[in-house]
Amino acid sequence: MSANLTRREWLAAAGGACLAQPVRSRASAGAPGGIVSVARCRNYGSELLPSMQRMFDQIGGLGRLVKGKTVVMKVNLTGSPSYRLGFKPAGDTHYTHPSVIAATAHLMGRAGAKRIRVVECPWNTADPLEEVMLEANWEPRQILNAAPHVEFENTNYLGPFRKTYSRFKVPKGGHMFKEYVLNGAYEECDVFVSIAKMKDHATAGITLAMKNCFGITPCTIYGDRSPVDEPSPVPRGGRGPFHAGNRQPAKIAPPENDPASPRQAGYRVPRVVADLAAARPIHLSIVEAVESMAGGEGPWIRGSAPVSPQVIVAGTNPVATDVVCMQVMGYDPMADRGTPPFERCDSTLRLAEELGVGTRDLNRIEVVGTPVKEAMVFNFAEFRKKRGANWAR
Amino acid sequence: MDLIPFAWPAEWSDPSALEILKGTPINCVLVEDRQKSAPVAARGEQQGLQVLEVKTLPSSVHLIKGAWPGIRLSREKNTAEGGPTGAPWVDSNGWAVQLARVQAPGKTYWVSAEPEKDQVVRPNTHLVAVADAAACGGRWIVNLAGETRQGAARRDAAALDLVRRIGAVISFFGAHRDWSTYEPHGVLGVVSDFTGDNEFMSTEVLNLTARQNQPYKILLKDRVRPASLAGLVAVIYPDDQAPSPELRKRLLAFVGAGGLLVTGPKWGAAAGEPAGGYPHPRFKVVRHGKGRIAVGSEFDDPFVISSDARILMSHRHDLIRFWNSGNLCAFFLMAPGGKRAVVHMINYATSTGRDSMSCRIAGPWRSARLWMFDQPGPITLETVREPGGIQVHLPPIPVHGAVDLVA
Repeated sequence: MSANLTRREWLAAAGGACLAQPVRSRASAGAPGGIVSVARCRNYGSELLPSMQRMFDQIGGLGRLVKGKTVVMKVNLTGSPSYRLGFKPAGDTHYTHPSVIAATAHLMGRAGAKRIRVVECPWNTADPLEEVMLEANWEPRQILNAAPHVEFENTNYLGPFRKTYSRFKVPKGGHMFKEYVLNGAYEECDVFVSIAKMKDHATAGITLAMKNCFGITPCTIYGDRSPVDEPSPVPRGGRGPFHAGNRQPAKIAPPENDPASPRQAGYRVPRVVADLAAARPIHLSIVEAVESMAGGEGPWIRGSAPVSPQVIVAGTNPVATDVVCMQVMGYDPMADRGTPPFERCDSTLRLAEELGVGTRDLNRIEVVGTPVKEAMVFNFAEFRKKRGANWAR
Repeated sequence: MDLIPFAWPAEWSDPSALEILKGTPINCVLVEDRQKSAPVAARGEQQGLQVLEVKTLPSSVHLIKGAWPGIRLSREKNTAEGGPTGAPWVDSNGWAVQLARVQAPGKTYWVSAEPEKDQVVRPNTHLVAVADAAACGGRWIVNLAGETRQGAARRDAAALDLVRRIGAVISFFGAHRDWSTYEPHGVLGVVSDFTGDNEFMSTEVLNLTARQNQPYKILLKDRVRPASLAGLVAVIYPDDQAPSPELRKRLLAFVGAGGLLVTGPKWGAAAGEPAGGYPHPRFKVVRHGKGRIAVGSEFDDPFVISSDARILMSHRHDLIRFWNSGNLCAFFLMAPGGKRAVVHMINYATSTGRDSMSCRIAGPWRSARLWMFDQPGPITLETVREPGGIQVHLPPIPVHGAVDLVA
């Protein structure tokens, strides 16, 4: 990983890729459909920045989205930074790759973003996000120096800068919760971006732009060891209660809508994901799998393997983006419980569609850039078929 | 003569049990009472062994009353007991040997321990015990515990094989005697007198800092000199008294030149501008010269102190960074001149996980070889060079591995 890249170096790396592309019109009116760009990208080096620039231009350009705005980018740093799949760096398997985060920040900065805040709720810690990145062997300056006014925030707790959490109501009352209580960074935000890794997921079938945002919920409130009444000062443990329904969140947050709902992770987690996508709208979804892993969301899933899909997908609607990602992975976006990749869970996409977040209707999603068939370098569905759907942690 | 001691079990009266030591490098038997163990002493001396009473050890020996190393297991469930973070509690004598080397230089450091009453002793922890002490320059007094002790008395094959393997670990360190001349390498210093009211807190800080794979240097507070602070990024002063004027002056000079001091309320008020950056929930951090002073408001939990110190100084200064290492702990020792070093890796769980382990080691290393006591020679490790260090890809390390580094 290259360290300490200056803005000048970023500009040099960008080359002539910033030539303006025509702005495309929306695919259709009504429930959001949208444009989704697909790009083949063989590496995190010289190809990355031009590819991403081209993708953003294809979906309408970043300027109209971020100019003069505060952008919050949720990245995926799932699990402990001391965990790897084999000898592979986390960014090559289950974490969003740092170069993708840096490239996005750089292009946002160039498009006039006023402030870029990279956020995540890292596993079991209130440590600064930079420290988590260093533990993963990243160089945080690669991201901090990618554009002016880039900063990090650990949103797994209230944090040292904030006095209160923020409340996000779910349209239509929500599948699991009517309201979520989150770190204020998610409110202090004009443009919310999900930068995810394209992966299978043991509980939710797949983890893409929407599932990435499951990780915006603070474990001080929704965690295994959060107190009953007040949020804990620092996060401890994971989000077991979302999975198992074995307890309600700390009382600062409303309890789940239906305490008699199934205590089954495959029912609960996709609904929480859909709720969050509705409550905290995602303005830009970026799902990368230049390098990734198949068969699970992290090294703790047995039978998972590192893969090189060499693809990035980006769109302005998270449902539409996830639909195209599923196609690229070899799955049917209309699949639901009982059908891969949702053998034992409900489809997050269908549940988000029910909340009006977006549509799975391919007729209303315009796919630009590399055709899906050409982008299918690695077939996740085939891998899943060969391995079977028996997940073990 | 370089004595390699074996603690004779008090309940063993049959001198023929000395046979189990044949073929091992053990050359010294420790008995509680020579008169009561007269037949054993006589037979031992016939066998060429030196027989010593525990209470009359040679003056060159510094005895450390340690702990039985390994993951603390509960007998009730045969499961690991939790440590301060919920991670399994690891007992190690490495810190105690390092401290003894500083407090009583020039001695031979013997480590003695019996398992706690309800402690489950896995056979391979006998090997870990030898490596744990030897890695830091000490010598474990070989002591058979639990079923191994009973099995050895019966001459069970498994117990005899374990004794043979204990001998192999001792021989391994004997063949790498130069490592014991290496000095602990660290960018973090712990300054204390390590005695009296300060003993518990300061030694627990050492113990738990090591548990987090943060190498450190031990500095006795009446011997802190500018030279002893050279190369350090941070210093913890955990003592429950204000420092002497001389020590304060020296630590402030260290901070003024760019260092970080992590200390508690007894340091007194630290004047200066707030240091900026990420506010710490438990520390007031102020600027002093080119460096920072972090004064903790809650300064009574040694695990929290050592964890906080690591974040205050930043993982950027990690000398060792592991992935998929489970309950493995490391000791980093540098040869005089800094051209060679060894990182001892000890697997206190004595079982290997299914995940491939890798490690980043800071420094200008050009090559890395792994030595293990049960391998005929070193394994050349696959390395990945990166700014400021190398990554090494490691095979499973069931008990102990030493990464031999050359700059």
